[in-house]
Amino acid sequence: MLEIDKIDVYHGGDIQALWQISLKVEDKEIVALIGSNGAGKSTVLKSISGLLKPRKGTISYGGIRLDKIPPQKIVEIGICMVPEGRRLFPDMSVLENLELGAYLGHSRQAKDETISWVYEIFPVLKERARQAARTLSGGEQQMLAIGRALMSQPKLLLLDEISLGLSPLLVETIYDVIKRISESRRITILAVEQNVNMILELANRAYIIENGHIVGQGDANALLESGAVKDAYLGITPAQGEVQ
Amino acid sequence: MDVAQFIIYGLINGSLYGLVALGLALAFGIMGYLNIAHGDLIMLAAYGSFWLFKIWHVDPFISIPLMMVVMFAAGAVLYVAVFSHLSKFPILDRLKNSILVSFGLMMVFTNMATVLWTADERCTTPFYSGMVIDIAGIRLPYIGLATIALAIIITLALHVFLTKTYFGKAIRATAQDWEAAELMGIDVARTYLFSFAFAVATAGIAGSVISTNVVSPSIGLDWTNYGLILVILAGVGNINAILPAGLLLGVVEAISVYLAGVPYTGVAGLVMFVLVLMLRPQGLFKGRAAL
Repeated sequence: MLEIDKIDVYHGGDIQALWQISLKVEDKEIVALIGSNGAGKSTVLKSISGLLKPRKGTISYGGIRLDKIPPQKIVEIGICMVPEGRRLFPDMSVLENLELGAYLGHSRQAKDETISWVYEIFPVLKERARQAARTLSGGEQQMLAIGRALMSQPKLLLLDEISLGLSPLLVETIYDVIKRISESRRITILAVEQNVNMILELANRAYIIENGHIVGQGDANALLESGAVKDAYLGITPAQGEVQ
Repeated sequence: MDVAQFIIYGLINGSLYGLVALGLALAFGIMGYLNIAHGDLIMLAAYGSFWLFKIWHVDPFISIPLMMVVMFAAGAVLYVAVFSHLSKFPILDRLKNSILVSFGLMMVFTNMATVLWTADERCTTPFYSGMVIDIAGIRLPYIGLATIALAIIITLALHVFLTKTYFGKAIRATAQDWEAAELMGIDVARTYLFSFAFAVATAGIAGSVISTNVVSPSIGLDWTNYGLILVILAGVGNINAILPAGLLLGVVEAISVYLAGVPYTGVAGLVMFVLVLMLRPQGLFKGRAAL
C-alpha cells in the first residue's frame, strides 16, 4: 500500500507546490488524481518517484519510507513512473529504450521475457524495434513509454497524463491496455489525468487536487456524477478560507 | 616534397587531434561540461609519461594504460571535488560554470607545472623515434602509424562500449535525458562520476603520445583549442565523428602548409572552425549523435 501523509513539497527551493497532501492507494487499486493544469498533480507523482523530496510529511510504500531513499532505489522496490511528455531517449532505438526500462537487478535478468510480453501488448513496438524512438508517432511513443515502464516489472505504476496529445481513439486503446495489465498482472495504478471522464470510468477511486491542496476524494463513479469534479475540471477554485 | 607525404602527416596529426578531442567531447556530450582544462590534463599526463620514461625507461606507448589509470583517478577526484557541484544545475548553467571553473583549473595546472618542472621543452625519445618505413618514397614514421592505429582502436572500442554494454547504454540515456534515466533506476551521479573520470583518462592516452613530440607547461591551451575545434566540426555530442573530423582538420592543415607554408598551419583550422560555426553550426557530419 502506498501512503502519503501530509507532505509539503517545494519547487526550486522556495516555491511551495503542495500543502499537506495525504492520499492512500491500496494494492491492486486504480486511483486517479485529477485537477486542472498546474494544480500539483505531477508534483505528487514526482515526489513518489523520488525526483522531488517533500520538506514535511512522509511517503511510504509497504512500510518503506520513499522520501528517505534515492529514485533508483524506489524503482528497485517496484514503483515506476511513465512521465509526462513521455521522456523517451530520443536517439536510442525502441529496443534500447525497452532494455533501459529493465536496468536494475531482477528485471534485467527477466529482460527477454518481459520484452516479449511488452511486444504482445504493443505489437507495433516489435515492428519498430530498430527505429530511433524520435521517429515514432505520438501514439507509438506513448506505447513505448508505457512499455519501458513495464520493463521494470513494477508493482505500482504511476501514469502522468498519458492521454496528452493523443486522439480520443488512441486514448481509449491505451487505457484499455492499462486496464488489462492491471487485472492480469495485478499492477496497482495511480494515474494523473486531465481527461477526467476517461480516467473516472477506469478508476476505483479518485482524489481531486486544486492549487496544491486535496479538495475532494471518493468513489470514482460517485465523483463522475458530482459537481466537485466539474469544479476541479474547470479550474474553479474555492475561496482561500474554504480550502482544507 | 610530394603532396602525398603532406597528406600522410596530416592524417597522423589528425589522429592525434582525435585522441585529444575525445575526452572533451565526452564530458561535453554526456554532461554538458566544457572542460577547458582538458588540454592541461593532457599536459600533466604527458609529463607523467615523460618522467616514467626518464626515470624507469618506460616506453611511452607502454605508459598509456598506466597514465589512463592515473588520470582516471585524477578525473574522479576532480569530479567529486569540483565538477559534481555543478551537476544539479540546468544544462546551460552547467556549461557556463564549467567553463569558469575549468579555466581556473587550467591556470593552476599550467603554473604548477612551471614551478615543478620549469618551462623547458622536453620529450620522450624511445629508440624508434625518428624511424620510418619508406614506401615508394613516402615516409611513414613508426610513431605516426602507432598514433593512427591507436586513434582508430580507441574510437571503435568506445563505440562498442557505448552501444553494446548496459552501462554504456545507461551513459547515453543519461546524456539524452538524465531525469528520465533516473526514473529507469540509473544512478545518474555514479554515471556522471564514471563518465567524467573516463573522459579525463583519455587525456592519459593523448598525453603519452604527445610526450614523444614536445612537452612543456604551456602546451595545454593549444590542445584544448584543437579539441574545441573538433567538437564543433564533429557536432556536439557526436562522438563517432570526432576522429573523422580530426583527420579532416589534419589533412586540410597539411594541404594549406603545402600550398602556403608552415606559418599558416593554425590558420586553416581556425578558418574552418569559423566557417562551420557560421554555415553549419550543427557540425559537419550528418546523422545523429552517438550519445
